[in-house]
Amino acid sequence: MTAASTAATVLRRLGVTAAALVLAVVLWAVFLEVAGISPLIGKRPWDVFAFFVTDDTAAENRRLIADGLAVTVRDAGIGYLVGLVFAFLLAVLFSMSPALERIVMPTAMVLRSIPLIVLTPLISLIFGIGLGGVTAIVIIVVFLPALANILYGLRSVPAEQHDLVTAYGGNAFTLLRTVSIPTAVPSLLASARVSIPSAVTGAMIGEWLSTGEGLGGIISRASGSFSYDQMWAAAVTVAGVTVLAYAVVSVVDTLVTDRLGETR
Amino acid sequence: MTATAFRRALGRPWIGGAVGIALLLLVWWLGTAGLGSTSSFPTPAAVVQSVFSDGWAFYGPNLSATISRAAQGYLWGNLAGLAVASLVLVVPRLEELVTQFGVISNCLPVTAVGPIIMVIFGGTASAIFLGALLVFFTTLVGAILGMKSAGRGAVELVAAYGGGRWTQIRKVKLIAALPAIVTALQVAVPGALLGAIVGEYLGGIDSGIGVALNAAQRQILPERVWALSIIAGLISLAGYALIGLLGRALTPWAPRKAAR
Repeated sequence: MTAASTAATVLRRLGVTAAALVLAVVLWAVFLEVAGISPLIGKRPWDVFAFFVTDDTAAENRRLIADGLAVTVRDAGIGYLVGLVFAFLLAVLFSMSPALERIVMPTAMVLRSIPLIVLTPLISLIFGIGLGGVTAIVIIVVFLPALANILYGLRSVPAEQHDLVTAYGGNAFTLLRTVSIPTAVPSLLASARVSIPSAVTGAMIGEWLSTGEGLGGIISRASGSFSYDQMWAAAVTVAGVTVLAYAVVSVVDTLVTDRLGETR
Repeated sequence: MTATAFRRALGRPWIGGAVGIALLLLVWWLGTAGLGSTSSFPTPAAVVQSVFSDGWAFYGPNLSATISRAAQGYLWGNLAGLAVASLVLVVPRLEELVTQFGVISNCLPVTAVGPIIMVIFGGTASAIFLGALLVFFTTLVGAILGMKSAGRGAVELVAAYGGGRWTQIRKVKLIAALPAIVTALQVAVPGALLGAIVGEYLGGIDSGIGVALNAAQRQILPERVWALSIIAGLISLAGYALIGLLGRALTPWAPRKAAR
């Protein structure tokens, strides 16, 4: 794919995301107006705008939310990176040892099916309340789906390529390096993309139930003290940042996949 | 992609799985046996014992309340997801916009939406809504993927024999999409349960797994916390298996993912 058409693809992708965001904001306003929700609790887009920009306390509000956001991004980010790296390493290990996979994967499925919120109290019992506990929660949410996904990618090596490397005397490591890992790159990127919302959700749940910091903490305190302005502003901020991060990773995904010569 | 990978993992010989679970139980037992009865980490036996001593009088009302909320959320979320996906079936050009819209819905954290919905509509509605929200994206994406999986040849064949757009949709695209939709419906099950439990945690509800869990934590009953967690996981696995069985019975033409 040429540079020009790649740029066009990226622009188009961002344009569609922007259009979808506008649609979401319009639906948000229309829904509250049509359902006749009181503006005291159902904040409209312009109320949130006022909270950040035109209110007397706007600068203070911005600082509050920005501080919370920094903590949430840290909470989600560390677990996200560690979870992905760990999933990749373990997937490589499993791809070389199917027996190990057969023992671990069903157990992982069972653990994964326990709802996250139910795991949170157990994790804070084990890892304590703080960054460690939140990171453990995020790792768990990111790690298991990514592991299944990357493993699937490592396994989908075409039989001819496998045979070619083996015929030229390549061992398991050569196979991994030359064929399996390049084949798995798209599924690694897909995992990196779909893990973003779950990492943020995991961090927010951890903050809500255990540390009380970050945007998760702000929302839970705001709902206790009826500060609905703060609650909406924090919710909109976390959703906006998540959409942005998702868009960035999916653009990277498109670019890399194009370079690898994959067509979608 | 995750869905198929998970299904393959599940389709593997049961022996490996049984070994894994047994190892997990063994580690749990060894790790907790020496801690004494006052610690936060009960042994598996203590957890089982607490389930029997609490009995159906405790679990019955709480489990059925949560399952009913999760089922309602599952129903509404899937209906919404399939409705929006069918827009794409009729107007394929909307695909990218609809997918991005789904991504946005997926980026709304339940802990941010939950309190807002609870303030507006109350606790029960919030539990159902959160379940629906978590189901919506999975089903939407699965259904759109499925609709794209119809072979061009089959679509063109119908067109060549004079079939209009509706005939193409009815005879080819829907049939081709159903297996992917079934997989999506299956993967969506844990989401509905998670949403319902988060909603219960937020308050405004007097029974359910979330409520019981919150209370057990406050009263410092670790056996009950562990038991409720494990039971919630088993419910979600059972739902996953049930939808899988139903789906396979309803779509006998779906390609079988044979275990290697």
